[in-house]
This record gives sequence, structure tokens and C-alpha cells, in this order.
Amino acid sequence: VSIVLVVDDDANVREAIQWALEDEGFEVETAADGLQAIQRGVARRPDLVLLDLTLPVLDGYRVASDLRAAHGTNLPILAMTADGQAQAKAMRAGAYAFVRKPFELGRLLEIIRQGLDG
Amino acid sequence: MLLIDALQFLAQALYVVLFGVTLGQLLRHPSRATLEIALFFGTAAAVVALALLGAVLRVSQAPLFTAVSASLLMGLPYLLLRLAATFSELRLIYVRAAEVGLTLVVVSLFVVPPPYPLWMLLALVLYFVVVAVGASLSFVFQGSRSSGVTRRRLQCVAWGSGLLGLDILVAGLGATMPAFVEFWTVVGALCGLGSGVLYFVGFAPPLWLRRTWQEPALRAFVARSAQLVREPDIVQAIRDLEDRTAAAMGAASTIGQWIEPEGVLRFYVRNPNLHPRDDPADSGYALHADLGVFDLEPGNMIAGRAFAQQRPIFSSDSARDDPRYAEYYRSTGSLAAMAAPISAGAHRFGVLTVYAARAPVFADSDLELVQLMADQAAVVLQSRALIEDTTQSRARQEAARLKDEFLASISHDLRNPLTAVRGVTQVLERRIERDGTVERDRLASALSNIRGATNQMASLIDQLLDYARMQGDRPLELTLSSTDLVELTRRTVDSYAASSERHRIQFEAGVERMVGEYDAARLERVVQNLVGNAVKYSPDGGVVVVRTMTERSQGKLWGLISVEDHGMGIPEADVPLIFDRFHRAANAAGVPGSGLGLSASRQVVEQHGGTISVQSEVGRGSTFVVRLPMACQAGGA
Repeated sequence: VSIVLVVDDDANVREAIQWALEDEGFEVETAADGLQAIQRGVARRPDLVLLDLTLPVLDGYRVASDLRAAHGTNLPILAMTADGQAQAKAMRAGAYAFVRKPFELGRLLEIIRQGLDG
Repeated sequence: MLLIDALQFLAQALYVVLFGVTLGQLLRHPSRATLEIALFFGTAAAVVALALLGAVLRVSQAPLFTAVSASLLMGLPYLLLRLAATFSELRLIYVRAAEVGLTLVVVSLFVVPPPYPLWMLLALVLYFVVVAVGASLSFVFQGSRSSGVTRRRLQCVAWGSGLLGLDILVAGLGATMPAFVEFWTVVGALCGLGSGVLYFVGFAPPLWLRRTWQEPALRAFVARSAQLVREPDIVQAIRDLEDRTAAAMGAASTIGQWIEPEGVLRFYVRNPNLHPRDDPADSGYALHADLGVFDLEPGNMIAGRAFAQQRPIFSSDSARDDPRYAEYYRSTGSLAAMAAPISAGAHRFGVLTVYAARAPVFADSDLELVQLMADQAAVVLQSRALIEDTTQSRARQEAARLKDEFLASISHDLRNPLTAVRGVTQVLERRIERDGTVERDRLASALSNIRGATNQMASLIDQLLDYARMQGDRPLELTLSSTDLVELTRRTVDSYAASSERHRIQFEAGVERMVGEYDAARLERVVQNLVGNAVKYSPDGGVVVVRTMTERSQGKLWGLISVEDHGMGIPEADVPLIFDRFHRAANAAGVPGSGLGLSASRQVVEQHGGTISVQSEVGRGSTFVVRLPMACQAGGA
């Protein structure tokens, strides 16, 4: 079973993604801010991180670099953004791909699978 | 002997020259003051002429001739005292007393045959000295109350009068102590020359001397005006310019600011009581005592004329030159006035005026100085206008930036609830597709998620609406209808009570109904905003108490809605600003918000004729109170 760490400060968004991934058979960890994400992500290595880049306490870039420092650069990170320069931001965070909110569930799952396979 | 003769001749010549100069002034600017100055020097010149005539015709010893020339001489201090009265607030009784004294002197001069007895000589000297010293003191007093060039001129006149008195005293002493006649004659001649020079300098100062005297004041004016460019308050800057001008000129000064859109010259009045109350409709001016401004139409009065014609104007008797406003000039103590336009190129900024109740304070050449200061004032006002333009364009840029930022943040924030709604609905669809059904618990939590997200969206859209409405500070168009505030508040509270699990929202209605003409939709948003804030700024949960009640004050009935929370509170420094647009309390940084809700609420409440206020303490919570005027049919108790 693949473990996915879902990091988003909006509780409704976290919940929706959690349900969707659990229905697909993933094990889901959640974090509501950057600090929580680093704590949980370092304590237990996820197979993939679904990371919103705009976070309270510590931002998504910091989370990405800390988790990579802990688990190596091959940890797949999928960036989520709600604003304009999604691609540039995702590249900055070192993500393998990005999704823009609001996204189609099917598309999200497809990208997650690519990340896990690849 | 030659020296004494030369001194005496110089002194005499000086008085004759001064007569010529002052006669010229009289002809150019006929007024009471110039007439009296010319009369004084005319009398002095006549004394000189008679002495010469007497010597030439060898009639100096003739009794009638002596009586006439002595009478003229004795008249000098009296004329000086009259001049002092023209220049300053000298009590009339002194002038009258001097007149009585002069009459006695003249009568005795014609009645008693020369050579005069000693007692009479002493009395004459005493009379002369007392009156001359009195006039001198009056000039000293007046000089001490003025400043700049005027002060120096009055001081010179005072010293000149003192020396004139001394001259006669010396002559008297010479008559009583003939042993030292040469000494007394030299001293007397020196005094006469000295007073002549001082009078010349005081009454008709040459231009270079005037410029030298003006220089320190002008320097101070220029130095200060450079700082005024940065003075934030334009009225304060104008007042400062007025004060500097007044100090430099030794007379009162006012500046009229050209308000182009209204077509008036606006004077910022310091004491409205000094202006005449009754301004008839066609007077060309208007005093707004409550605003502390006096508006003048261009072309009216000396100031308005100088502005309309764009040239400096000097009137030594404004009541005579501009009879339409004679009463105004008299009552405001501006019978002598100079006005110069404040302009830079084609830009007109206003008019600078300098005025005094008494004309002789000014001379022709002062007008150049006034124009010079007006030009300097124009530099100050133009620089200020440029700075203001820059500041305004910067403020516009800042407003545009805030707007962009706000719109970006709203659209960013809208994507989150949208993501949740879309995600949850797709999860449900997939389950139905897969299992044909969704279990009850999952469905319930999915619906709760969707409702939470839609509430989020609704509140963001409200903010957007508030913002759109507040652009340009347009007043709202209220849609009034008969509305019960109790019912409205209850409805809002109920909708919130269901959506927040960690907060308990309690509603206490003090009366059954609070009916009035209100814009229900907008007031509902106000209550929503207050209750929403109470929840938002109580991150640890807790009780929010919403109360409605009525209150009678100022003879009116008010409906009150209060919202009390026990959350984080507002720091004291932020409380006065909390209703300002975009202002957010220092401790609110971690809580999402636009800084618009409360300012929009205030606008709605105030347009209903009501007020909104807050009491708050950090760590203990806040209580917001909305007071709305009510029609007098409050129901219940």
C-alpha cells in the first residue's frame, strides 16, 4: 500500500482528497501547515507528497527541501497551487508535476500514479 | 565758529530738503498722515526761512517777527505729537492738553514784548521739551509693538524727537548760562542736525537703507519658506507665510488662496469675530465663520483687484480709493493696504496682502518687497502643488496595487472551496458508480464538507461585493423596507449556529420586535460579518453572545444589536482604526481576512443614521455594538 502525504491548510480540501485517495486504496497522512508536514513526513517516509505550496507557519518550498533532505531527491512531490504561475512554482519546489485548483479527480489520480510508477 | 555755522547750516538745509521730500509724498499720496508729515517739516522749514529772512532784512529783533518765528518753533512739538497720534493709539487728551499749552505759549509770545523774562523762557522750554519727549515716547512705544522696517523707522523718529527736545532744552540752558554760549551752540547744532538726519531716515528712508533693514527679515522669510514646502498642512503653511510676511513688513498680513473650482480667493481667518457679520448677498465676499474661512471674489477689494489685474496695488487710504468697502476696511483695521498676486508663470496661487490701520507705516517702495515675498510664496505653493500631485499619483498607484492584490487573493481563496466541492462530489459519483450507493455517514460528512465550502465561497463573494461597492466611496443606495431587526438577527445567528461546531452562538432578544425602515439585505450582511468575525477571531472556540435591545437617548429610540465574543481581542492601538478600510489588527495576521468587512459594515450602519462601536481587550474578547435609529413603534418590553 502506497502512503500519500496530503498537505493543505484548507480542511475541506484535505478531507475531499483524503476520501478520494482512500477510495483508491492509498494510505493517507494529512498535515495542515508546513511544520506539521515536515514532522509527519520525516517521521514516516511517504511514497508521494501532495503539497500545496501556500502554507501557514512554513511554506511549501521549505517542506519540499526538508523532506528531500530527509528521504533523498527521488521522493516524488506533486505540487498544488491555486494561483497563476503554477508551473514556475512547481519547478522551484522541485516537483515532478503540478495540478491547479480546482482539479478533476481523475486527472489527479492519473498524475499520482505516474509519480508512484516513476 | 565756522564749524558751528556749518553744522547749523546743514541742519537747516536738511529740514528744508525734508520739507521738499514730504511735500512730494503728500502730492503723490494725499492723506492725513502725509499732510501732517509735510506740515511738520513745512513749519520747520518756515522757521529756518524766517531766521534767514530776519538776518537778511535785519528785522530779527522786531517784536512781531520774533513772536511769529518763536510761535512756529513752539508749534513743532505739537505737530509732532499729532503725528504720533496718527501713527499710534495716543489718547486724545494729550493732544488737547498740548493744544491748550500751545495757545498759552503763542498768546504770551504776542503779548509779552521781547526780550522775554527768564520765567517765560523757562516755561517755553519746559513746554517744548515735555511735548517733544511725550511724542518721542509715543513713537518708542509704537515702535516696540511693531517689527521689521517699521520698527526701525519709528525708533528713528522717536530718537529724532528726543534730540529735537534736547535742542530746545540746550537753547534754553544757553539763554540761562551765557558763559558757555559757544558750547551750548555747538551741542544745539549737533542735536538739530541729529534730529534732522533721524527724521529723514525715519520719515523718508532712502531705498538702500530700507533694503538693508529689510534684509534680515527677508532672509528669515526665504529660509523659513524653504521648509514650508514640506509642511503637511497647507493652511498651516499659509499661516506661517503670513506670519513671516508680517514680521518682515511690520504690519498684519493675510494670504488669499485661489480656489479655482469655486472661483474664490480663500483667506483662512484666525479670528472670525474681527470680520463684519453682515455680508449682503452682493458684497462679493462671504465669511464662513464656522469653517474659519473668508471667501472673496476676484476683482473685489484691494486684494481681489491685485489678483484680477495680476499686479501689485498699494492704497494708503483704502476707504477713499475703494469706497464700496470703506466700512469693511475701517472695521477690520485695514485702511492702508498693499496686495500682490502670488503667481508663477501662468499658474495663479492667490494673493498676498499686507495691511495696517494707519497709512504712514508704509511707503511706496514697500510694494516691491511685498511683490518679492509674494513671488517667494508662489515658489512655495507651486512646489507644494507638485509634491501633492506626486503624492496623489503615488496614492493612486498604491490603491491600484491594493486592489490587484485583493482581487488576486480573493480569486486564489475561491479556488480552495471550489476544489473541495468538486473533489467531494466526484468522490460521491465514483462511489455510486462503483457500489450503486453511498453509506449514510459518508454522505452526511460529504454534505457537511460541501456546506462548509459553500459558506466560505459566500463570504468571499460578499467581500468582493463590499469591495466593489466601496470603490470610489460611492454612497450606497439603500433599499428600505419595514424590517424587524430582532427577526433579522435571529435568522443570521441560526445560520451560523449550524455551521460552527466549536462555537456556541447564543441569541438573547431583549424585546420582541424592533421594527423600522431598513435595508434588510445589507444589515443582514453587517450582522453576518460581526458574527463571522466573532467566530473567526475566537480560534479556541467559546460562546458568542448576540443580543438585541432598545435604548432611548437624545430623545430618540435606538435599536441595538451587540455581538460579544471571548476570543483574541483587538490591541488598544488598533481599536480606533479597526473600522478603516484595509486596516487589520496587529494580532490578526494569522487569520484570513481582507480588512474590508468592518469598514463596509460601518458604511452601511452610518448610512442608516446609526453608529457602530467596539470595546475590546486583548485575550479577553471583543463586543461590537450596532445602534440604529428606530421608528417609535418598538413592540414588546
